[in-house]
Amino acid sequence: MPLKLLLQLSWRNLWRHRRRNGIMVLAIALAVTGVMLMNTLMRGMAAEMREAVIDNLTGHIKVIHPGYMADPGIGRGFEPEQGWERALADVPVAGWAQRVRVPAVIMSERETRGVQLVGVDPAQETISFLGSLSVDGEALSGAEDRRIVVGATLAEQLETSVGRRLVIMTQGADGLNREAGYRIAGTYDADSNALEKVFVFTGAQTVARLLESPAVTEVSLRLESGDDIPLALAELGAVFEDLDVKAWQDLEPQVASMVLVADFGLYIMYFVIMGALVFGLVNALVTAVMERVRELGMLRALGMRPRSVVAQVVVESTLVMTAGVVVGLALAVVCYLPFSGGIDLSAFSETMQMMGVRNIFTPRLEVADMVIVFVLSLVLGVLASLYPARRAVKVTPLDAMRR
Amino acid sequence: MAAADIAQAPPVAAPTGTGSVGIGLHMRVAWRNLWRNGRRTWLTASGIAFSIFLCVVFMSFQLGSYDGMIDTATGMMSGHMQVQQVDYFDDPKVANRIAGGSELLRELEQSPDVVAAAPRVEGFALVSVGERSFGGLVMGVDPVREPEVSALSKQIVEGEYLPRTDSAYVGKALATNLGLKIGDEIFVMGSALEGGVAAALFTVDGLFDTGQVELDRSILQVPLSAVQSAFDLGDSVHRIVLMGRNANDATAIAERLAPALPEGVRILDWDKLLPELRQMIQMDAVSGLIIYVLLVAIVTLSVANSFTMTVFERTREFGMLIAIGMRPGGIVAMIVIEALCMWVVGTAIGAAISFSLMVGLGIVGVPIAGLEDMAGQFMMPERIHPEVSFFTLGTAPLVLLVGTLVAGLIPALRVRRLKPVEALREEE
Amino acid sequence: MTQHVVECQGVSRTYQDDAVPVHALRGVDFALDPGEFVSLAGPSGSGKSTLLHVIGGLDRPNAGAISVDGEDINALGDSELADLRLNKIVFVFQAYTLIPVRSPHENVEFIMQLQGVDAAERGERALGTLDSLGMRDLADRRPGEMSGGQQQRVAIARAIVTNPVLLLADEPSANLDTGTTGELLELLKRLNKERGVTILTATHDPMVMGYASRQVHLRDGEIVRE
Ligand SMILES: Nc1ncnc2c1ncn2[C@@H]1O[C@H](COP(=O)(O)OP(=O)(O)O)[C@@H](O)[C@H]1O
Ligand SMILES: [Mg+2]
Repeated sequence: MPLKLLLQLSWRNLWRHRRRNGIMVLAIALAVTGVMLMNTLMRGMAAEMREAVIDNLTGHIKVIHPGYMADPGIGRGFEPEQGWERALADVPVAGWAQRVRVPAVIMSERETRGVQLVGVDPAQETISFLGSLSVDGEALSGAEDRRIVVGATLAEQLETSVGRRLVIMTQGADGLNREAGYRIAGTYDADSNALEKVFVFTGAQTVARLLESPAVTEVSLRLESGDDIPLALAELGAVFEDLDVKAWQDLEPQVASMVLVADFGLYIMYFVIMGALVFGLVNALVTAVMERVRELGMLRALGMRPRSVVAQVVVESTLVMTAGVVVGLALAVVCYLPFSGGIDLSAFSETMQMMGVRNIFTPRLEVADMVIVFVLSLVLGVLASLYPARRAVKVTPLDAMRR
Repeated sequence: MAAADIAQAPPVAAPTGTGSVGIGLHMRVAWRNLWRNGRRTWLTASGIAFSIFLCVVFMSFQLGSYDGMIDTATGMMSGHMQVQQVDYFDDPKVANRIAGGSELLRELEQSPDVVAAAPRVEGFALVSVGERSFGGLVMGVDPVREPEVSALSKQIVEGEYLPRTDSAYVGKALATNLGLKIGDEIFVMGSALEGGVAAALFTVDGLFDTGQVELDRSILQVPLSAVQSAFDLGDSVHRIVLMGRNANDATAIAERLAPALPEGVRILDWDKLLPELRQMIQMDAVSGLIIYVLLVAIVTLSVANSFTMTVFERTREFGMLIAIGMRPGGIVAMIVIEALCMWVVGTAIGAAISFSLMVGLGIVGVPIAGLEDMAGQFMMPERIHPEVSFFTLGTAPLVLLVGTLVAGLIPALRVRRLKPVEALREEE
Repeated sequence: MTQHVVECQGVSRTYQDDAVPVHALRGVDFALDPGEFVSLAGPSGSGKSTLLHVIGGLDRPNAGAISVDGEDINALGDSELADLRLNKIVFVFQAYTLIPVRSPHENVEFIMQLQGVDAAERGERALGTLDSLGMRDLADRRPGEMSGGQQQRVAIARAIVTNPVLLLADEPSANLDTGTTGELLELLKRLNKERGVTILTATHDPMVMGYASRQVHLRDGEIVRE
């Protein structure tokens, strides 16, 4: 049976019962819009969490000493060979940074706090949140800089300010304590107070001098694309043989699992909501078949093949689905656009910070997800039509005559 | 068909009749009408059952997990409520203390609302073992009272919980990093109340392992008095941790206790102590709510659709009923009663399955396998007991009852515009 | 010898109704030659419709052989039967004959569409046929707005537009008044004469019988008289 004829017949049959099919389209659209909008929020959340983790000194990949996680300290440092980055010739890398990061105690005249002292080369830190930090006072000028930059919140807690001195105490490679005073070059304001309380930055050379060790504790890489992580892992693994080369997913398993949950969330929500909808859809389709017993019988008597009858029911179901999904997706886009620039979520700020999400939250409507929803719906439309279609082929020409 | 329709129609008994009939007859007729298209009724009722099932299960688990989360999170450290110096929460420094802590503690313990109370003193300090040292939070606690407000003492993996006045209870990770064993001495040094140096010597008598590395590597508990004297605090404390009977009562209890507190001291419930917990619950509740609303809306639409089809198919029958003297209002009522019956069928199925499931799981609880990571981070308990209450079980059926009735009523109202002559001429 | 358009040998059809077998046809032997106009007569329940159905491949006999235009229809599957109907046999039903969502013109085109006739030819033939039946002005109406006789005529237009071998009509006049029945019969007669379409009708309307070239009488599922 020619497709055009099939579509035309189906379309007119649907139009004949516009009220009922309209309700179906509305229900489908509602479901799709709801699922899509929830999904944009989840996606946005997952993306922000991922970005935040990658920004917060993790990068896509980090090279550390195998013992560093359990015992972070310069004792677990290493000295990367010059030119190691050439091993990554065929992976596009956005940048990399070598850092010394050690736990330290920081003291003002009045207060004492535990922090992470991070020695950096500011020129390399375009790959982390350091690169785009807003600093009150002055930022670090280079790896030689002997001043420190502390979080605004920490400065407040220590009751100190730019230009004043703080004493930092930490362990050297020999396990002995080192202590030195540093002047505050600036205070930084990060998205999360937790970050501000934890990280104290200074020049990499300064930390090396304090610890009397040229070692670094981590090499962090940011790739042009997260898709290249497996390749980069393999190539780096060959260079840093005795070290751990880890992707951010391994370093931050909680965030990785949240991102994964967001991936599955779409399917779960979709099937939950659409599950409820299928009953109604099957209902409408079966009714459409049962009302048309005589017509279908007559079509069969005229010489329409059984499979064309099946095709007709399937096409009708798919058309209703398609109409619903298209309307739903369009509605989702319309609802999404005003918020595409971001939603102010300061009301939920603590949770957001805990999850590493900024106060201005950007939902994400991904084309790939729209395609998934569309395709799933077509499949569902076909599945929903199977039972009604079976009913329809059971209609014999005789049924039409006898009624 | 037509003959059967007549048989279904309520008889108009006496010539003086008004065309309306009693509710009992309506019920019976509606019930029979409902099963004239059994397939449709089953499908629609299944939709109702399906969404009731989902809503009930989700809601029970959602609310159940909140209780579990709140209990786990408050039971770890914070307690249901805390009494603190007014500035301490925002600026936890040694000086922001409650003077006369032991007396206030006794007073609070008198209150019938308070099941357990424990004082704490906290200060950041450098913990050293031999030449190695580490920055950490030293927490002075009452070894007898503390176990009643916090689960930390139960996470012990080695040794004893603060048996002596110079005992230290240390995280396993910290012990590993410092190369500590039971019986080793540690030296603690921090800044005391008025800028002086606080120093004290302790013996490691117990090790704990919470599974949260951050905690295990940065906290140590020692007896209260030792910290008070080392930090020059006298009888002062930083927190008095309180437990009520139930975490949900915390706000109310806090309000009752607040007036009796001395000047400069305030009481915070867990809601304020753990704002991220409350917000996480709110966010989760909101996203749950969206799903419930969608489910209910979609099922309501499919019920509406079902009745639109029913009304359409029975136009002739309705025309005939009006022609023989039934009032349109009576027909509308009949359809709405059919909707009610539909709801009864769907709810009976959905409720039977979901209620029994939830009551069963509510008793045994469901382990959240494979989510330990998240459980740790998001303060989840290891087992969720779905909440079985009128709210979790009753909300979905009741909301859908309204939805179903409306969904029946709207298509039914079209009957009032029905002209019998046209209806009868309607092609089958 | 000329081949029969329809040939039935020992055709039986038994319905199993409430455990009591109903013998609708009992060993019917029957043949139709090309160009015949035969009317099946007999009281209600005598098996006329059943015979038309098994010949048209809408129903299958329990026993006996049927061939249509040389093809043994027992040997055909459902889809092949559908194709046989599509290309060689047409039906004119008692009522409800048109596809409600299509205009008369589209209804007439429908079978040709299934057959795969191209659009230009289809349109031309459909209009031509409607024209020849004097229904050109009805071409774009909705079936629901037309009278029974008009619908029946459109059904006949649809039936003949494809030049079928065999036209089966079951009580074609049952829902029509005398005048319309006359027009309809004239039409069938013309078709039979001018195009040589073989026609088999089942009826107990004497007026229809009068137009037929041969009458076959059925009683209790058996042919009693030719
Ligand atoms: N599907 C069926 N099931 C049972 N009995 C049937 C069925 N179709 C026809 N019959 C019976 O077969 C006999 C012949 O019917 P039919 O061919 O319709 O007669 P006619 O068309 O001559 O009135 C009747 O007794 C009828 O009741
Ligand atoms: Mg008959």
